[in-house]
Amino acid sequence: MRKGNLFSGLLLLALGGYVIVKAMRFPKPMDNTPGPGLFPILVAIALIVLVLLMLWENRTTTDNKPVVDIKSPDFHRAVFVVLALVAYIILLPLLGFLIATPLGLLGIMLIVNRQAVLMKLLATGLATGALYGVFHTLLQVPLP
Amino acid sequence: MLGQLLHGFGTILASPSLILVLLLGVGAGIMVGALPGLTATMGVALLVPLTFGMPPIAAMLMLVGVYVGAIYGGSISAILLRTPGTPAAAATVLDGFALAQQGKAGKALSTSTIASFVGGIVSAMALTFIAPQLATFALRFSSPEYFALALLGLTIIASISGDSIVKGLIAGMLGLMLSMMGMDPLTGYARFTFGSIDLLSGISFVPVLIGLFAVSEAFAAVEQILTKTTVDTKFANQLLTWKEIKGISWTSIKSAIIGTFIGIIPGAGADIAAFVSYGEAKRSSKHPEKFGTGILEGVAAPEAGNNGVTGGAMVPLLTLGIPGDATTAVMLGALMMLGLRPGPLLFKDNGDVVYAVFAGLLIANVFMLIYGLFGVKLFARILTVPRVILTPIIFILCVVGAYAINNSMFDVWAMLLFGFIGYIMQKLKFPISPIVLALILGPMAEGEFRRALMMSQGNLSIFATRPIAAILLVLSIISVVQSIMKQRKAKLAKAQAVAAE
Repeated sequence: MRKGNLFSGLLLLALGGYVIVKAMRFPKPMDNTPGPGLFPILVAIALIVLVLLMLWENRTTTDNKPVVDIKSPDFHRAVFVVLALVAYIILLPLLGFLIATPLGLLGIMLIVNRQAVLMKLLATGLATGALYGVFHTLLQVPLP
Repeated sequence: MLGQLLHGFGTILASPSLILVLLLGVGAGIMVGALPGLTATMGVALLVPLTFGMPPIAAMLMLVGVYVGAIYGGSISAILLRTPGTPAAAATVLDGFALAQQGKAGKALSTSTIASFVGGIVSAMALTFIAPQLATFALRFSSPEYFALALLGLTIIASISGDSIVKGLIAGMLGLMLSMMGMDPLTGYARFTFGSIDLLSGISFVPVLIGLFAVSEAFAAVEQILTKTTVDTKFANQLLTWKEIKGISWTSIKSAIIGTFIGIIPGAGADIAAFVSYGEAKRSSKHPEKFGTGILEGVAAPEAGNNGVTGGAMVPLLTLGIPGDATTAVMLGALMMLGLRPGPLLFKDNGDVVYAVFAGLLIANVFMLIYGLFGVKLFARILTVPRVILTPIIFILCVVGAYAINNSMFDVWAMLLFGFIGYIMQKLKFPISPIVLALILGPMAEGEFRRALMMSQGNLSIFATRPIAAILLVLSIISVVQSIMKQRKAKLAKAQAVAAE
């Protein structure tokens, strides 16, 4: 957690700095009223102060456990599911809902475990049909 | 007011489609609430896209139904699985599971149903009678007061930040930054759009919501997805006797009042209400030592308390535009997407919607009672659906929900990005609710601040010279200081306990 706090803190400090630099270039009104840059600058300053406070508190943290156990099979599973979801989103506009969705559903289910394939096929078909029925037919929401 | 409420009832009861929407909403909510890992907030977030094509009354009734159902539904897995379906049901585990182990799961579930009904009705009545009075008072508000109110709402972030207030406030600042992306509403200048046309109107609220609350939870669930759970769905349907109902009635009413009061306070949610109600019931009981061993009052207290929050949390939501808890924060976003700006003018311009919501909340609780007393075995079966099947379906539902907003794949990618951000934030123990709260309240805070300064020609003293604004600002400071002191006290107590060991 300590390293995680440090890394995220540095990232957030960079974000705060970026916002201040960018917002200072926003146009300033001719009268005394606040322009579009004021609030971003105030929020970025508050962010920087809070992050510095977090890093200060982090000095005394004794929790040195890693944020994620990258060797754990559970974590690997989560990563593969994220990748499968990305692939599904890429394929969705290309193949359309009715083809991409069963592929995506089955793919994610099989990444999790490869047992009971028949049940998964059935669940995939039912879920795709139900989602299509509810969104496209009932709610008239156009799907890809 | 009574006339308007009766009109609200009439609107719903005369329309089969509205009754159906409420029935479906409550049913869907119970299912979502019963499943561990799916929270009431997530359920409402997932259903927001479904409400887009609906008229405002139907949309709000659907979301209210889900809210009521989900808070109750958490007790089902709390009693049967020893795992609360929602954080609000954590206290129900204490006596609920003990009762199930004694073969009295049916009694525990009946108690939960009746107590939840009492909690929901008491809070719905409170909403109906308190909200219009508060809305009338809020008609005096102008830009300085609205800014101070938004600031108070933002400082609530400190109280919903869990273990770390600093991390909660950081999440809030990130939410504020997100709210500033897009065209500045006062000058039209494009801020932080990176040249993208999709970002000109800012970050769409719903993909962020679905990503942070639903997708990130689903990613976390994937890590535990192979854990098997066994559920006994063959428990006998055991309705309570009149003596048992009498025995839990005072506890239920008292807990309902506690829950309603806690719900009205922005930031304090159903989980806090459940524990406070349980603690009070135990403290005032003639037999406190029996709590935790499997007694009906031990289930009635937290369940009445947590459902008592539902109406209470909608009081600040509808009258002031400040959400009472995370779920009502989502509803606030939904209201805005429906073109309804919560606040005193909502009562003036859309009174029919408001009173239909009041009536809908009362009717939703009746439906919840019916579902709970006669259909709980069916809902318990939901727990037997393997997570290996359910979690991927949730992912697809999130994708479709995000796409449905604007028929745009950009929103889907935004949802995925925020799902990933939410997952990392959970790992780093950053709370997620503050981002959403700040994303919703940020435009109000900035806009009203700048308008107030225009009113005063740039003079900041306007916030001190207007009494209501000044009081709200002082309350904001007190809110932050109190939260910091509470956290320090808790850390000290923890350190002392560790030292004593």
